[in-house]
Amino acid sequence: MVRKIVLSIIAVLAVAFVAFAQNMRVSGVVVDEANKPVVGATIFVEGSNVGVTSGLDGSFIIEAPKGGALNVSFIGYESQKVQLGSQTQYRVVMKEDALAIESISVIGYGTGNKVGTITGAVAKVDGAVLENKPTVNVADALQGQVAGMQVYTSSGEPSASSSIRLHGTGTLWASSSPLVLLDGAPISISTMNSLNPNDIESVNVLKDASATSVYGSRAANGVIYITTKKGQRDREATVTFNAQYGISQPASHKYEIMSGPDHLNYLEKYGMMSAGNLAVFRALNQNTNWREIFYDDQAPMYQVDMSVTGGSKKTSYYMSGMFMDQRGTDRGSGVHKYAVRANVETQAKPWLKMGMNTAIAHTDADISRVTLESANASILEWTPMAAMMWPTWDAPVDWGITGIDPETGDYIFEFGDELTYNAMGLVNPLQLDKFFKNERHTTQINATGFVVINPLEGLNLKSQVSADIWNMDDNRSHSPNNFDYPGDGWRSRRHYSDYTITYTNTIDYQRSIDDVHNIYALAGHESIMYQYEGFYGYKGGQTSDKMLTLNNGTGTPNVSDSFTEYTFNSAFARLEYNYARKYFVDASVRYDESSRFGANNRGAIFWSVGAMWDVKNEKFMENARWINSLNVKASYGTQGNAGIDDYASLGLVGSTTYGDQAGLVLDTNQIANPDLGWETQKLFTAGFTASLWRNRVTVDFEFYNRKTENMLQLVPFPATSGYLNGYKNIGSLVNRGIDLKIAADVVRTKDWLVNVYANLNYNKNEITELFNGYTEYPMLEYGMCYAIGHSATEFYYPTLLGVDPEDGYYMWRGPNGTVVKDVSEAIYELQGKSHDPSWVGGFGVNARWKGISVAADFAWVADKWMINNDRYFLEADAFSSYARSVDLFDRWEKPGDVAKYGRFGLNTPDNLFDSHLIEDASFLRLKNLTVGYDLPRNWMAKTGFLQGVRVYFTARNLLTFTKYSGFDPEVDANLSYSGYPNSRQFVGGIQLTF
Amino acid sequence: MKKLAILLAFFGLTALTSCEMEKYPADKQVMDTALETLADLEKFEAGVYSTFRAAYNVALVPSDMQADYVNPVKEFGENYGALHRWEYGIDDYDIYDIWVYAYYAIANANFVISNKDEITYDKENPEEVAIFNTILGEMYFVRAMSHFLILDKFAGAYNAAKADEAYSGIPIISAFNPTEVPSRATMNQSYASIISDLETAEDLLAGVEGEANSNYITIDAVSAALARVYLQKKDYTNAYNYAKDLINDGTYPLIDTEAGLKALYSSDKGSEVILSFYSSTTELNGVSAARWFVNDPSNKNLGFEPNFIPTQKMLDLFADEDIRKNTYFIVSEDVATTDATGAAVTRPNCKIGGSYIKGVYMFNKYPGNPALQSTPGTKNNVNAIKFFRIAEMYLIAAEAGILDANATTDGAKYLNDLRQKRGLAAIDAPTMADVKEERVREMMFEGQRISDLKRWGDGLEVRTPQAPIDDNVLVTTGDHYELLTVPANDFRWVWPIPAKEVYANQLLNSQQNPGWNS
Repeated sequence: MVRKIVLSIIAVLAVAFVAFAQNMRVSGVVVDEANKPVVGATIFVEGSNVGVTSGLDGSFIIEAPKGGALNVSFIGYESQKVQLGSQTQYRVVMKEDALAIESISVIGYGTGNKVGTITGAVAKVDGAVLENKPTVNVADALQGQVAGMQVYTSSGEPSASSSIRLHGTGTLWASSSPLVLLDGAPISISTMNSLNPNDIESVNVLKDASATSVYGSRAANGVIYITTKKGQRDREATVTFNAQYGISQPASHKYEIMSGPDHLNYLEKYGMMSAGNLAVFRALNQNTNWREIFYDDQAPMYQVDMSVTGGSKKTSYYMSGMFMDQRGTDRGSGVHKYAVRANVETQAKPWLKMGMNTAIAHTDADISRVTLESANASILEWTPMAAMMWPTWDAPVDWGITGIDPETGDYIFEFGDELTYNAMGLVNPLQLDKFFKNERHTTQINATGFVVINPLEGLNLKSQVSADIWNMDDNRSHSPNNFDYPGDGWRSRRHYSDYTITYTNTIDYQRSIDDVHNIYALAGHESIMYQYEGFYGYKGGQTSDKMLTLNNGTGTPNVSDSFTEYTFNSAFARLEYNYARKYFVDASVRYDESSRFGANNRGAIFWSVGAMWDVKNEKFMENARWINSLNVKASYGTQGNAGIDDYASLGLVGSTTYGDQAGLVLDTNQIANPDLGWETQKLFTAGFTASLWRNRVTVDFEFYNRKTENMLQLVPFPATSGYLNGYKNIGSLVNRGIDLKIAADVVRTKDWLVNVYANLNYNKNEITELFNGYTEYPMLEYGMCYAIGHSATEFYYPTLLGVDPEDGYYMWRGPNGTVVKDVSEAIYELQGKSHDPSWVGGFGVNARWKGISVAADFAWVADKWMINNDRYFLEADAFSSYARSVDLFDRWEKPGDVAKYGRFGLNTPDNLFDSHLIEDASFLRLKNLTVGYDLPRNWMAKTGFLQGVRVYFTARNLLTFTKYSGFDPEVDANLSYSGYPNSRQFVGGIQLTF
Repeated sequence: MKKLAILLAFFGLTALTSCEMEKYPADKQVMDTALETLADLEKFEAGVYSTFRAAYNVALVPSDMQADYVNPVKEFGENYGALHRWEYGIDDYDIYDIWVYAYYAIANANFVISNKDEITYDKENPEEVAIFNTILGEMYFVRAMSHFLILDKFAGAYNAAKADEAYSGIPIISAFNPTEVPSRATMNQSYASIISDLETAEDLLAGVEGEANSNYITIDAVSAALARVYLQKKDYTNAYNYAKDLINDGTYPLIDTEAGLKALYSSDKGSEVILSFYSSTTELNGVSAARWFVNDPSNKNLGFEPNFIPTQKMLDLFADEDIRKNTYFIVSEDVATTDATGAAVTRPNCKIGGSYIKGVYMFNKYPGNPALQSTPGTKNNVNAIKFFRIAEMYLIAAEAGILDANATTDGAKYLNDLRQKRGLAAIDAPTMADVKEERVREMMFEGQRISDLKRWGDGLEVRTPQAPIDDNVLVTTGDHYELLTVPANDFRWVWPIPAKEVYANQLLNSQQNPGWNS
C-alpha cells in the first residue's frame, strides 16, 4: 500500500529545523507531473522527525545524513522516496495518486479530491493561523483572513461566539449563517467554540456554486469546512506541549462623559436636582472613573495543551488535550474550558479502512450580568451610564462594606436585615459578583466514525456517521441579601440539550484513461436528524444566601420544558472531468427535503455546473516563464436555505389558562402555509488565480452575483386577521461583489522571508422584490426599512438638520424639501447607510529571520454604520442621573446660539432616535500580532530528547482605529447598547516539541 | 462475489437511514383538528377568556395616562411619556398593542363561532346543549366588547349626523378568515354589529345567572355591557333601562364603608363587582401598572418611589368625608427606619428625584392584591381588573337619566344614591357637571376618562400638580406636562389606525382617521 501523509503541525513546526550538524545540506524542488511546483509538500528525512515543507516555488533545503533517504509527500499524490547520493540537488516529481483512499476529503463528499483539481472557489486558512490565539473562540481568528467573509465578535464575554457572514446578507428572514462542517458533518457555529484551535488542520471556505451546491441544503450562505489534524503512519510519535499566560483588558472605548463636578453644575443649571441633593453630592465631591472600576485591566488567562501524533504501519493517531482559563474584563465573567480529542485511522484490510474522530469539550463559564440582562441592570451596572458624580465605596458613603478580607482580598459585606440600601439609594455594582451567580456548564461531544471500502480499483464506498451532542446547564441564583431587591432571593435552572446525527453514504469512482481523460464520479445519500430539549425551573423566596437551591424557595415554582426537531433527507451526485489537466468541468445535482417545510413543497432540487481552464498547461504558455500558473474559472448553480423555525409551515394552536382551566389559543405568529418551501439562491461566480514570478506573487480574483429568490419572508398580516405574520416564499434579493486576494513574498532569501498579503471584498446588497407588490416595508421600531433598490440593512430615521439658532428647536428634513420641527412618521426616510459594510478586508505581514518570526494581521471593514444607543441615554434629559455626554455643554441658550443641542426641556430628539445617532462604525483592528522565536536546532540536539522550543508573544485586538464613539464598533447589529466591549489580550507562551 | 456482497450490504445500510419528514411540535396542536368536541370547545372557551382579559389588560392604563389624573414625577423614566404629552404618533407601541390584542381576542372568538357546526356533541342532552350555548354566548360577548374597545379608541365620539359616513367606524370581523383584508365599517354599522352580538349573547346566556365577583360572563354582564355601549352610542333610553334594571335587581349592593372599599380594591372582591377577570399567582394578570403609581421596591415598607402622582386638581375633587379619598390616596409620612450605616433614623417614606419627601399624595387605588404575590410578602403590585362594577351602572343611569329627562327617568336618584354610599351628601337637582365630577371620582384609572371626555365633547384642561414641598419640585414640568390643554376638537382624541396595520392592510391608507395621514 502506498503511504500517504497528511500535512500536519509537525511539518509546520519543522520549518525551523534546518541545521543538523554532521549532515549534508540537500536542496531540491518538488514538482508535479505537469512540472508545476508543489507548494507545501513535506520532506522528511527517513526514520526521523526532521522535515521541511516546500516553498511557493516548490523548493526546499534540508540537512540530511549522507546515504540517507528523504520521504516527500503531499495530499493527493503518491509519496516519493528519494535515496540520497553524492549530489546535493534533487528534483522530485510527484505522481498524482488517483487511487488513494487514504487522502483526506476536503471538498464535498466521497473519499478525496485535492483542492487544485476542482473548479470551485475555495479559500483555505491554514491551521497555523488559528494556533495559540488567546481566545476561546475559533471563529474570531478568521476575521480578516478570507476575502468576502465577515466575522464579528460582538462581545468581550469570554464564552461568547462570533457571527459569520459570507458575501453579504442573502436573506431577510431566514438564517444568514454559513453551513459549518467539521470533518464532513454539520455543526452549529456555537459548537466551534468547543474546538481546541490547535487541533485544526485547516479551514476551507467554499464560496461558489461548484463547491457548495453538492451541499444543496443550507449551502446558500456558503460552507465553512473545518478539518482536524490526523496522525501519519509509520512515524515516531511527536509530542507537542504548549503553555501560555496572559491578560485581557477592554479593547477600546471612546465616549466621553462629564466629570462629577461638571455633571452637578449641569444638573443645577437646568434645575434637574434639588438643592438638598446638590449639597449632599457636592459634599461628597466625587469624580469616580467607573470604567476603571468595572473593568479589570489585567484579567488573567492561561492555557496549556498537549498533543501526541504518530503512527504504526497500519494505524495513525492524533490525540490532544487542553485546558484554558480565561477571566473576563467584566468582573464576574470568565470561562474554563477542557477539551480532548482522539483521531485514529487504521487500514484494517487492504480493501478496508476505518477511523474515528472523537472530541469532548467541557466549559464552565460565568456569564456577566450585563450580557444576560443589560436592560434590567441598575444604572451603575450599565457601565457607560454610570455617572462620575456617584461615590465609590471608598467614599464616606456606605455600600454595606465593612472591610476587606485579608486572605482573599474580597470585600466583606454586612448582611444585616436593616441594611438594604446605601445612603444614596444605589447598589454597589461589585456586590453583583456576590449576589448574582450566572453559571453555564456546557458539555459537547463530537464524534465521527467512518468506513471506506475499496472493492475495485478506483471505486470507493464510504459510510460515515457523525454525532454532535451538546448539553448545557444554565444556573442562576440571586441572593436574598442583595441590595437591589432586598429579600428577593431566587434560583433558576435551565437544562438544554440537542443532538444532530448525520448519516452519509457515498460511492465514488476515479479513473484516468491514457492520462488524458480524467473522470471522477460521486453519488451519495445523507440524512440529518436533529432534536432539541430544554427544561427550565424557577423558584423564588429563598431567605438565606447559604441555601439557594430550588428546594429552599418558598414562592410559586415556575417550570417549563421545550422540544423541537427537524430532519433532512438528501441524495446527490457529482461528475468531474478534465481533459489533459487543461480543461476542467464539473456538475452536481442534489435533492433535499426538510421537515420544516409545508407538505406540498418539502423537496427541491439544486444543481451546479463549473468549468476551469488551466491556461498555463497550454503549449503557447510555455514561454511565459514569469507566469507559474494561471487558472480561469466560472460556475453557476443553485443552493437552498432552510434557516427558519421548525414547524414554520403549520397553523397551530397553543395552550393557555383561564381560571386554572387549560385553554387553547391561536398561535398568532404563523399562519398555516402548506406550500411553504425552500428559499433558493442562484449563484454565478467567475474569476482567476495566478501565480507569478517564480510564485513570488499570487493573485486571486472573483466576481459573484448571488440572487436569492422565493425568499422565506415573515410577511406582515393585518392584526384584524388575528395574526401578525406568516411565512411565505416571496421576494428576491441580490448580493453582487468582488473578492480580491494578493500575496507576495517581498523578500525571500536563505535567512529572510517577508510575505505580505491583502484581501478585500466589495459587496452591494440590494432588495429587488418584496411582497404584495410593495416597494417599502418600514419597521420603525427597528429604524429599518426594507425597500426595493436599497440594502436590506439600511437605516430608516428622521434626518436631523440641526438646531434653529432663533428658537433653539430641532429641525428635521420634512417631506418635499421642507424643514419641520415636529416629529412624525412622515419624516422617516432611508438614510443611505447600512449596518452591513460595503467593504471588508484584511492585510498583514509574515516575516522570518532565522528563528525569529513576526506575524501581524489586520482586519477592517468600511462603510459600516451603527446606531449608538448608549448616546441616547447619555444625552436625554429624562436620564439626568446617568452619565452625561460632554457634548451637552454645546446647548442652545439664547437666540443666535449655534449649538449641537436644542433648548433645554424639549422632549425631542432626546426621546427620539434620528440620524444623529447613526455613527460610522467602520474600523481597523490589529487582530493579531505575534512574535516568535525558535531556538536553534543544534541546542536541541544536545538535550537528546527535545526537538524544538518556540517562545512567542501574541497580542489580540492590540490596536483599534474607528470613528465610532460607542463601546465597540465590532458589534454585529444595527445598534450597540450597553453590552460588554471586546477585549484586548496580551499573551506569552512557550511550545516544546519532543 | 465477496465484493458484490459488500456493495449490497452498503446500499442496504443506506436505505435504513432515511428520516421521517412529518414533524409536529410537542407543545402545540395543529389547528385543523383542534376543535372537534365539547371538551375542545371548553378549552377554547378558556383560551378566548385569556385573550379577552389580555386585551382589556393592555388597554386599561394607556388612555388614562393622557388624562388629568396624574403628573409624572421628576425623572419618571419616560414610561407612557408620549401618551401623557399627547405626542404619540401612528407608530406608538401602547396604541398598537391595544389594537392587536383586541383583534386577537376577536379572531379567537371567531375561530369558535366559525367552526361551531363542526363540533360534535349530543344535541339531545340538555346539559351538553347548555354548555355549548353558554360558551357560544361568551364568544359573541367577547367579540362584541373587543370590537367596542377598538371603536371606543380608534373612532370618534358617536355623532348621529355623521354615523353613516364611510369609514367612520372600525373594521368589523365577523368570521375567522386569516386572509381577509377588511375595510372600516361606518359608525352605525359598527354599533349595529356590536349590539347584535350582545343581543345574541343575551339569548344564549339567558340561563346564566349573575353573582357578585363572577369571573365568567353572566346575563348581568351582558346587561352591563349593553348599558355601557348604549351610553357611548348616546342611546340614553336603552342605556338607562339596562343600567336601572341591573341596579334594581339588587344583586350587587354598593359598598358604603371605607374599610369595605379598601377591601374591594386590595382583595379585588366586593359586592359591587359584576364581572372581573380571573387572576392568580399562576395567571398573574391585571393592573400591574400599579407600580407606575406607587412603587414600593421592597417588602419592608421603607419607602415608595412613584413614577406618577395624582394631580392637585384630582385631590381637590375629594372631600374629606368621601370614603374614596383614603382608599385612593396615601400620604407620605415619617417612618422609623435605618440609614445606610445601620443607625436608626426617621425619614419620609416617599422618594422623588432622589429626595425623601413628606406630605406627598400618592395614588393607591391599586395597592396590589396580597393573594397575587408569587412570593408571599413580596409586593408585586398586581390587582385583578374589575370589568364591571355596579357603581358604573349608577353613573350610566344618572347620565342617561339627566340627558334624557322625562317622566320615567330619574337620573338624580341614581347619582345621589351613589354619592350617599360614598359618604357625600345628596344634591338637589344635580346637573351633568355633577355627574361628570362624580364619574371622575368613581371611575378613576379604570380606563374610561378619555372616552368620557370624548362623549361629553369636553377638552383636556391643565393638570394642576401638587405644589413643591420644602423646595422640592415633585413633578416634571413644561408645556407638554402640567400646562398642557387639548381642545375638544383636536384630532388626537381619536387614536390613529396603527402604522403597521395600515401597512399590512393598504385599504386603510385612505381610511385613516383625520389628522393622522401624512
